[in-house]
Amino acid sequence: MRGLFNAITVGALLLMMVGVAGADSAGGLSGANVHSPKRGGTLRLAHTSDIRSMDPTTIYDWLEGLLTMLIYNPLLDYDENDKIVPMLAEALPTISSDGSIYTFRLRAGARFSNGREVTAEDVVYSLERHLDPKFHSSYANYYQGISGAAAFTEARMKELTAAPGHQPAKSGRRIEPLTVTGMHAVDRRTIQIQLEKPDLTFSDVLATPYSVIVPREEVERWGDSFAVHPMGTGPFVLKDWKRGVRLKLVHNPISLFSAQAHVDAVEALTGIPESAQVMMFERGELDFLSAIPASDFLRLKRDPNYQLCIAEATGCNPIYISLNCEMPPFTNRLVRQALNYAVNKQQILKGIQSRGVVARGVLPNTVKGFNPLLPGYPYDPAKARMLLAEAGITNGLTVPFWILQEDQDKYQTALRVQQDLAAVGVTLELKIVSYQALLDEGQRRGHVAMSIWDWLADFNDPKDTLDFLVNGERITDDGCLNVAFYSNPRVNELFHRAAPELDRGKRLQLYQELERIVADDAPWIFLFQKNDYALRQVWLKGFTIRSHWPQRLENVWLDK
Amino acid sequence: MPASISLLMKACRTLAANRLAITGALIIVASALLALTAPTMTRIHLLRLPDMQDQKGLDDDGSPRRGGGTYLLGTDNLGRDVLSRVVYGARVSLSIGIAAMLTATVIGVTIGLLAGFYGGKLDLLLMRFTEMNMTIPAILLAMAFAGLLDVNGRTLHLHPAGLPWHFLDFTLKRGAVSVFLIIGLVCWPGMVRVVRAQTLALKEREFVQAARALGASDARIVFRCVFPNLLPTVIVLAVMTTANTILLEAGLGYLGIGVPPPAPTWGTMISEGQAYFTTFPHLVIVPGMAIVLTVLAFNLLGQGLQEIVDPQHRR
Repeated sequence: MRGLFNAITVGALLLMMVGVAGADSAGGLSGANVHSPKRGGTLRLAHTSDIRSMDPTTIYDWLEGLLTMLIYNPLLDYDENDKIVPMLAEALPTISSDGSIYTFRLRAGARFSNGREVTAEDVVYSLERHLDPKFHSSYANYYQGISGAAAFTEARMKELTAAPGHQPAKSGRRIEPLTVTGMHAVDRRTIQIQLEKPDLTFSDVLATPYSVIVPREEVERWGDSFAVHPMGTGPFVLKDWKRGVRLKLVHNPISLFSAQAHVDAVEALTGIPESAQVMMFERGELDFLSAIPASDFLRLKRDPNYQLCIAEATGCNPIYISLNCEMPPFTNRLVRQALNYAVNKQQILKGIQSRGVVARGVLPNTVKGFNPLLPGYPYDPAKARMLLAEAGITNGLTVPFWILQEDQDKYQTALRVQQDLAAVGVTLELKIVSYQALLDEGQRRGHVAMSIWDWLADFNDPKDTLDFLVNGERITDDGCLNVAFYSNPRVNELFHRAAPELDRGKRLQLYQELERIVADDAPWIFLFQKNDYALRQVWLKGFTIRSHWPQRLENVWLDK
Repeated sequence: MPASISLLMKACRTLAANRLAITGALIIVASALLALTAPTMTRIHLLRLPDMQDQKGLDDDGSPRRGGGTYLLGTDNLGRDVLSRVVYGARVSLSIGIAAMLTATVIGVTIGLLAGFYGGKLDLLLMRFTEMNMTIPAILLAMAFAGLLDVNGRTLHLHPAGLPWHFLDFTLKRGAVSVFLIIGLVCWPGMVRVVRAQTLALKEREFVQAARALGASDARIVFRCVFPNLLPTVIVLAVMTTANTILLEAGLGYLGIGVPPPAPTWGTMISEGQAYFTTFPHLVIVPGMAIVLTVLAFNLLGQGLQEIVDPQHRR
């Protein structure tokens, strides 16, 4: 078991163990992870949509994150208590006294699955890729704190614009600096990274799936299609991928971590609707369900066969409606606030069997610095109408609203929001799109005025969620995670102050101040923080869910 | 004219003898009545509003209610009354089905008449075009058309190039109008072949020859001699086509490209209720039965009519 789970989940698991021991002493404690793991078998899972990429610069989806962690390894990782532990690094980094220089030493004998040994140069290259605009990384901001990052990105950008063929190497014109000055390989196994300003979350960044180590020669060999030809140091390798149908990973014997993986293969079916997944699970064709849809939640929860198999992470998954602050009518803050007051979140939550809590702000409940004292937007249609009138909207509004049908909870929520807003004179024209289309168009500037999203934090710190979703300086024209295209100079300034703060208490305070402004500006309709559930088969052992992204499966085993 | 009245009487008597056809007709009349009176029934509180997401429509767990009690056919996952959704759904289904049928009939009869009456190169051209359309499954073609329509609508520029006749432009949004046009545009080919075949036979008949000998224009011959004789066949085809258009409308709704939510359409009801099939089957069975009954009714009536038009076809 690795990864974080919050106090409530731990409590639930403990209860489960007690329950198993008491109720079923014969089948007994195998339900808890007591017996030694069994080797072999194929782990089977399913997902609603196909994946786009297994390139750490562009992964986003649940399945993409999960697969990345099976195929690759980052330098650092979390243990079961959510503490940072070394992974590809030999030990935790040595950090200079001012908190700005990190020195790592790689484990000896780590190899990519093509047989080549991992070197310090690979680490530098892997992190550098995020800063090279050629790779369209969605996560560049994690690495922009490294000294020389801005100059590096600018130089690469210039090369790109000089050579529209996107092949700067061939055009032969290189522009200095060729490397990120703050990051270099001291020797074959030692890496030193210098940050411009100290950052308490940098170790967390290096434990995310974006910071996994990739082999340069493979990236260069495959070019753009590296995303579908992943190759890393992890305990599994991609064996077979039938687009839109299924994906198979097999055990990688030369991985340094191969002994920790117990199954022979992982098979992921893609494009399976949620309700079909439930049926497959109940027939025993899947080893776990990554989400329990509203339609079957109570039935499965009350099913005595599964009672011990439900894992829960409370309030970690914010569901929100993004109101594009660059597109009318949402350029007006009053309109955005009005919409927040017009939605009856409590009622929506009841419709999805109360699997969550009403949101008052941006941060999930599970993240440090979560502020339970934010006022939120209580249901108040009269006030909503008043605010709309104040904004000069007297004849009502019509807005296209992009929604997904694949995700039952979001679809149902969207229909309820449509009714609530109709009551205050706002007509939503539903545009039902695929997940891919929502990602492509919604993250592009000026395309989607209103759309529904969710979020899972990458690690337990407010910087992660806030910086991605509401930092105006992170807005890009394409692949922008700040889908509300929200930018407030005061908030942006607070980001600059909070990020390098070394006093943990003060830092959280700054983030809370920042979140309060965002909540007041209402770039989203703050809906609710959904609980995350997963349902495993009795024979799947070592399976846990975490309140942050991604789901981990390296250490599960099948006890059939 | 007493002769035609007696013919009509005879037709009615034949139809009345066909119990299945009568059942079909009754179902159609009943559903049409329900559809027409739905808003009135709502006004006198016999029927709830179909889009009303009622708090009381969900039980304490937040699950749909089963049939019986205050909600005769239960509620759906948003607490909406299934009975009123299915009745209002009939409005959508029938109106789109019939409008699409009319569109398809106009296109089909026009092409069939032109091809059959003029023959030659025009016939060749029109029939190959028709066959080309028949090779593509209607639902696929409809999906392709629907895909062209954005939620923001698409403006069709119908004015001739260079002329500023912008009053001819019209913007099509996803909604009832676009859906019936799409369905109408894919359902006509079957009609063309029958109309053409009949026209070919009719234009050789003596009365047509006689009209021609008297110097009647093509238009006069088509409208006064050929078309009236085609009418019975066209009516039968139209009734049968309605069964198809209704089915197609439900299919598009199911695929999420029909009339957008929250409009209650049978297809959308099924796709939204599908996930609840194991726990609350009424969400799927009720609209499913509505589709089955209506489509069956149109088919039965169509067959009954066919027996009158074409007595040899009788079993």
